[in-house]
Amino acid sequence: MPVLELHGVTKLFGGVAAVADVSLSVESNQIYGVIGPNGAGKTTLFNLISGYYRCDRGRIVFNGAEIHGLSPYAIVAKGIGRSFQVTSFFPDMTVWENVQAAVLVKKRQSWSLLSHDSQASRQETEVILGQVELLDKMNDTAKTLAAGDRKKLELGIVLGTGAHFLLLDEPTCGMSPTETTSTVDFITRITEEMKLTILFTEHKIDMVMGISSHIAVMHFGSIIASGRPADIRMNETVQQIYFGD
Amino acid sequence: MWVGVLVAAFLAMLPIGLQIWTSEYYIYLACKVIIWSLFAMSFNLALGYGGMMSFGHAAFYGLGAYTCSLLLVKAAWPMPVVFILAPIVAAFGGLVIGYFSVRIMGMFYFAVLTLSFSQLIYIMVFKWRSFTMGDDGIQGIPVPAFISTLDSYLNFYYFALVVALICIFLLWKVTRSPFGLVLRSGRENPDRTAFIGVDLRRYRLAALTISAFFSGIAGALIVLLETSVSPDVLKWSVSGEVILMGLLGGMRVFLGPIVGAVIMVLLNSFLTSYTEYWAFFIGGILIFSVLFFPQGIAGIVYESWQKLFMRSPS
Repeated sequence: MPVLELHGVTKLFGGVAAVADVSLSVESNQIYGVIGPNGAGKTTLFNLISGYYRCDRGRIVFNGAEIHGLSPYAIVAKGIGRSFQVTSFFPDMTVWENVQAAVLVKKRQSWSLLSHDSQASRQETEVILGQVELLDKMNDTAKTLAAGDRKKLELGIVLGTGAHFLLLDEPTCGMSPTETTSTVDFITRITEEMKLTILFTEHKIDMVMGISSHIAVMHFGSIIASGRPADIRMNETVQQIYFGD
Repeated sequence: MWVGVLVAAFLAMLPIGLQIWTSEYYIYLACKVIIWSLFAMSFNLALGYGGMMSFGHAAFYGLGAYTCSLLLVKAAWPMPVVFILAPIVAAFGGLVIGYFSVRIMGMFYFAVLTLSFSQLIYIMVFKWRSFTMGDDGIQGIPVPAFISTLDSYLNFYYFALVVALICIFLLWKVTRSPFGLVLRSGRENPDRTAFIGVDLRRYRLAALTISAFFSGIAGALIVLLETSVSPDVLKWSVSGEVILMGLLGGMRVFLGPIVGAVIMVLLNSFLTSYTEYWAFFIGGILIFSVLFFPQGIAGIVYESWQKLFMRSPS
């Protein structure tokens, strides 16, 4: 039973199709990788799924309900969380506040104007900060964190929304090989632990091959190949685009 | 805790000291400082916490002032009722103006739109002579005996002080609440905020309405202090002054705007007695402050205090 299905999704920018007739389906608990060169339309695809852009054509179905045309905040409420290529968080707030803001919104407590934060929200924030290994830094101002920790913080914010379906846009973008490895391990571990489903983009091909259970290859806005990592590696078109031979 | 007691004692004794060593005028000035502090604090909920650069806060201040004046003079309603209705009318103004303005992303357009709305209200009050007396203003507004300023400003001082402290306490609660946290998230990163499931427009609208409510109280207070009102309270320069107070004092520190209000009101009063070009000096100080300490005076004090006492091991 697929969690997320895209049927013929298309997005035009001034006549040019940034995403052209893309269909895919993501199964529960899968780590689904989307690879492709820069400008292939990966980020646009994510912006369509998360409601940042509206599709010009096609349907997006999440857990059996159509979500295309909904606003970003409504899509978050359905249980889809996203991270950005350039790590997006609240720089001048503490690490704790970053995650708690998301938890309070999920718990529908963000409209209490004169009360304190609830015990329940504090407990949940603490659990999430434990999961993303930032408990010891919870009182730090977020902008003082290093790149790897920032990424973890962003994941903490996403988990705080209660999302079980995560869209990760180049989660290891700009990281050193060591940071990449530890981030990959981390993503694999929390996916396992929290029964998450992950759709992610990347252009570090080895990393994608390593952690994905399914891969789709995008090129000029279309999906040109899709399958298990081993099949993708053998695919001739993909080899031409990617490995240049 | 002891700081609070000390401050309370100081604020309580201040007018008595002023009465003994200086003149009544300084108590009047202290009242003005209180009122502008409240106004600047309310404004800062919109700018400092909500990230909304409102250039039309004079509208809310003026709506409070005119509601108070007109109801006291024309309807002769009892002062306590009027004093509650004035901020409600101001808040309604905030709701209407906010409804259109919070849709707009980007500081510049938000500022222009709020400025336009406030100018609209200014012109309306200015031109509608039969109802508002136009630019003649309204004089001799009846003020109940317990805060009458005929003999001394002392009673009014305590009244304004208590009202302002209650309002500032409520504002403090709002900034510390879950709502306040989400509002700050929106200021820091609107996109990220949308992607934690927040329809930011609704939070901004609520914040602007609350801000307008407390600005309306400040407007009502100034009427009771001056016992007169003119369209000047709705002028764009009033919106400008309250922004400057926020900038000068520091909008990221809760009490920052009060520092700005104290400095601006005192400078205004002292400089006008020496030169008619007082605005020139205020302008100079502001350019200096924006260039060299954009975090404001309170911001600087807060940062140095943190460096001294909260040095984190790193």
